Amino acid sequence: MNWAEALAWITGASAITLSIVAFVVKVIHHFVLRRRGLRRALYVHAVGEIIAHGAIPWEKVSGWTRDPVFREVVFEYVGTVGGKERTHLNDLIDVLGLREFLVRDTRSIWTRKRLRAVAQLAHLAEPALELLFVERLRDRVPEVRLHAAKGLARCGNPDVVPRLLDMTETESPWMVARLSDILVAFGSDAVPYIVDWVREAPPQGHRPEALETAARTLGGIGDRSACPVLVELLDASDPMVRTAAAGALGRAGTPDAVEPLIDALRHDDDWRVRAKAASSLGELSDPRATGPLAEALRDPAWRVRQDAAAALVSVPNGIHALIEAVTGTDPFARDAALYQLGISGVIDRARRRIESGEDAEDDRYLLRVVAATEPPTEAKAS
Amino acid sequence: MEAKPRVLVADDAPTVTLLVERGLEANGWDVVVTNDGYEAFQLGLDGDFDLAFVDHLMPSMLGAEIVTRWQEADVDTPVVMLSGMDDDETIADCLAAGAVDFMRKPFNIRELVMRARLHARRSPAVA
Repeated sequence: MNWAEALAWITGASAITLSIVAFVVKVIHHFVLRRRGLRRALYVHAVGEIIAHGAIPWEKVSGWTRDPVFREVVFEYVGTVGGKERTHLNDLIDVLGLREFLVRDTRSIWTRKRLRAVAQLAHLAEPALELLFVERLRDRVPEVRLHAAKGLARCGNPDVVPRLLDMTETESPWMVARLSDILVAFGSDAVPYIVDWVREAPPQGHRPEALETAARTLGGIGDRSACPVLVELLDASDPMVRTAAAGALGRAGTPDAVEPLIDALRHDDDWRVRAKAASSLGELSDPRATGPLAEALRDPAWRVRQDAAAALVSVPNGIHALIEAVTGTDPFARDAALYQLGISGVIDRARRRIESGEDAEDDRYLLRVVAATEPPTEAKAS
Repeated sequence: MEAKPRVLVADDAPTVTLLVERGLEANGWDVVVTNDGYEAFQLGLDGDFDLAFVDHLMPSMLGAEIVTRWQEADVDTPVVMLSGMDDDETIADCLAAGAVDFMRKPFNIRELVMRARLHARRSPAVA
């Protein structure tokens, strides 16, 4: 046998062996999955019946506790039911010692086991588990840290808010976005902690991404006690922080925020900040914003013009400012105003009022202006 | 004897359908269960239900879409949405689509049964 034949023989034998191994693994995997699926179906029904009847068949259930599929099903039910049924479920968890199983698993060397345990314990939202969640915030796996943070949020103790905010200094953008959602879940209780965290910056200052997250979170919560700190953040050096603060003031702003937002709309170098300031002024619906928003219809950035036009629909006398812009000489302002009058339904409503005979002079004026700006049809042109 | 009032329960989580089914059956409802969005839509078109509990996030069709398409097809079954998503936007979208109520998970079975009585076209007699 020469070397080429030997090589062909070895290659063929290896291919056949690998195919057989792959087939056997696939068959085993199929049966493992099938068995798991069957066990899951059994547990879903069994636990459902236990909850519905409020009685535990000990001789059967005690043997199931070691099965992770059983624990998974029990904790799925925890996320499903409340009230009396949840009380039965808590009794089941207590008596079977499922909590202790999971607490042990949170320190496992196996990532999957740790992740599952922390995620399931997070559903329980028990203050006694807070220390464990805090410990898991240092886990090397981001998803475990995330579930630990969720667990802390469900426990509802706002003392942990600064610790979660500290995490935004070092975590990836994906994690930071999830952490912001978690912080919003604390609600208004978290606001004083976030405000203090923003103001008590370390000597090197907070990372811009972290400050941006804090501002977005305050906006997501929408508590007006956050207004002063958000106004301070409008002067931050990073444009993304200023953008987040301007956006947050739409929900968390008070009348005190109107002048700083107008200032940002007129003078900020970054169009994103000006656009957010315009939107927030619309949300605050303050009459002081009408003039500056009308001026912003001539902003060099199209996004600012569009957001200013959209905001004018919500501020007092804003519609008049839009109609004026349609008749004006500035083509940017005219386009933005026309677009907004169209999509906000102002033109359609005026048309309907005229058709039903309930029109006012303003409606007829608006339609005359709109008709004058429409391009001639082919028939007219010819 | 008058037929029991019929309710459709659509949720991809068997844990939910099982508990809701048990709770409603124990209170005199005739329950039809499905775990798939499109099947729920079809059942709603054909079946004569007095009420439907529909999960928002389901495979093959979203709950809000089911409600919208039932309305387009003139199906006037009152729909109570169920969802683990409790953000304002989801709730507003579901109610705007035509759902009569929205229940967040985790929910209380007794409360669910009471809401069923409140919204259904026909309810079982109180025992």
